[in-house]
Amino acid sequence: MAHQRIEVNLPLAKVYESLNSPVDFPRFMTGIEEVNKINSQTFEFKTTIGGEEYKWTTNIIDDLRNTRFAWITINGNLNQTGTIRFTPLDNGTRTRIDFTLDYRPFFGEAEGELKTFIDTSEEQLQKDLEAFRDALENGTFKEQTEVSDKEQAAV
Amino acid sequence: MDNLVTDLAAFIRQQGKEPFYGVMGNPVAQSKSPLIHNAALKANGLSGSYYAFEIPQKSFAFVGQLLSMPGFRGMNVTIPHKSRIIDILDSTDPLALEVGAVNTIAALRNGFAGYNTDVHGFVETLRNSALLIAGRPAVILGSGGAARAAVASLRELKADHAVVVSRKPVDTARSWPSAINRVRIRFDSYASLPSLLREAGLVINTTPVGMFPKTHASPIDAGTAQFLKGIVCMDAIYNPFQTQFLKQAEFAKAKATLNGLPMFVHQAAASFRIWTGKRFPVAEATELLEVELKNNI
Repeated sequence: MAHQRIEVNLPLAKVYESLNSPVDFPRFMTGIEEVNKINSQTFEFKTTIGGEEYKWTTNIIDDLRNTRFAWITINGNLNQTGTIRFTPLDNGTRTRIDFTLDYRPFFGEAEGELKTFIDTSEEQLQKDLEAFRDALENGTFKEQTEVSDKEQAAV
Repeated sequence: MDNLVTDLAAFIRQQGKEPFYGVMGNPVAQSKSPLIHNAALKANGLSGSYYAFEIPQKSFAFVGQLLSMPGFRGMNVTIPHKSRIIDILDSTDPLALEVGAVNTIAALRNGFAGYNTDVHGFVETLRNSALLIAGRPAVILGSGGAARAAVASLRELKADHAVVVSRKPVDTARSWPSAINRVRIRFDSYASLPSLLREAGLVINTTPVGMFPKTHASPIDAGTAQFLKGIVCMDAIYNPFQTQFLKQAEFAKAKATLNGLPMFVHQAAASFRIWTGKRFPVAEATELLEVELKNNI
């Protein structure tokens, strides 16, 4: 299980709103290629590991605004669970994020490229969260989201 | 303006665009929420006030008007509206749906959202005892809404499973799910308590037994109380601070005895954070409540 903690120089509400939609995860999580929204609670994740496609469906199980966001996998060929906790710092002007992410196969032990993917997930999560923090603090994370929204609208 | 607003219709007529928060329920005269939320608003330099709205079942139709007022920022919900309110919300946190109760409403861009912060309150109260709770069953006394929130909190505390103890366990089993928040649930009666407590790491009283003014009552009898030895014991009641149940637990050398005050403060803190994104002054609120409750005794 990977766990990383990072502090962002932005208010709690802004940080929470940038992290409470799994469709935005591929913007900073390099291990996830695509997330599609099925309904308000259900999301389909896709990625490729060692040439093999992995696809799984998650349900949000807890979304306590400005406090916690958590999901579990309900089917697919990779079992991902995640919890993000938000803590206000300096009277809510800065925010601490605790991000926990767990990957495991539904059956048996992970092997080969999948095992490497899981074994390095902690290190990768740290890099991803640093990239997220930088993009959010310099305003480019929002721009990426807006561009993507416009692209979707154009389609 | 007084914290307690009894004439809801007048409030709806008079309130302009001034930001307001509140708790709605019946009765709410005893609620300490206005005291601590108004202190939190002040501590954070935020404008607006927190009120108590007495809304009986028959006046539920007013709730939509209240929430639609331009100054509305957030609402706590208490008995008897915690379940019914879900029907008029635009979205509800999945955990609140599983618990079957909403105690916090926020106005978001896409409508009204409902949450259950009682679960958070239980987790924060018990967090320091988590090592004593993990891997062992937890016994929950009572089968109401607070019991469901208590069960949901056990996932984070890594208890093995919950045993919900009630006077009519067969009826309870019919109306409850077999798991909440992925915490497995068994149902049993008070007669089985001695054997259940031998295995348990935690016992939580969620019944109103022992609450002011009937402070000499306890949900468990004196003979059963000896089995509280070595267990973390929590009472969701905070008035009185030390209920008869917690006195029994202390006498039996329980591992820890925890009253409902931290739970009340932490559920309020989570609500405040949902509405404002700001830090709730937990220590100051606890102190305020301690003074207030001592003055009332």
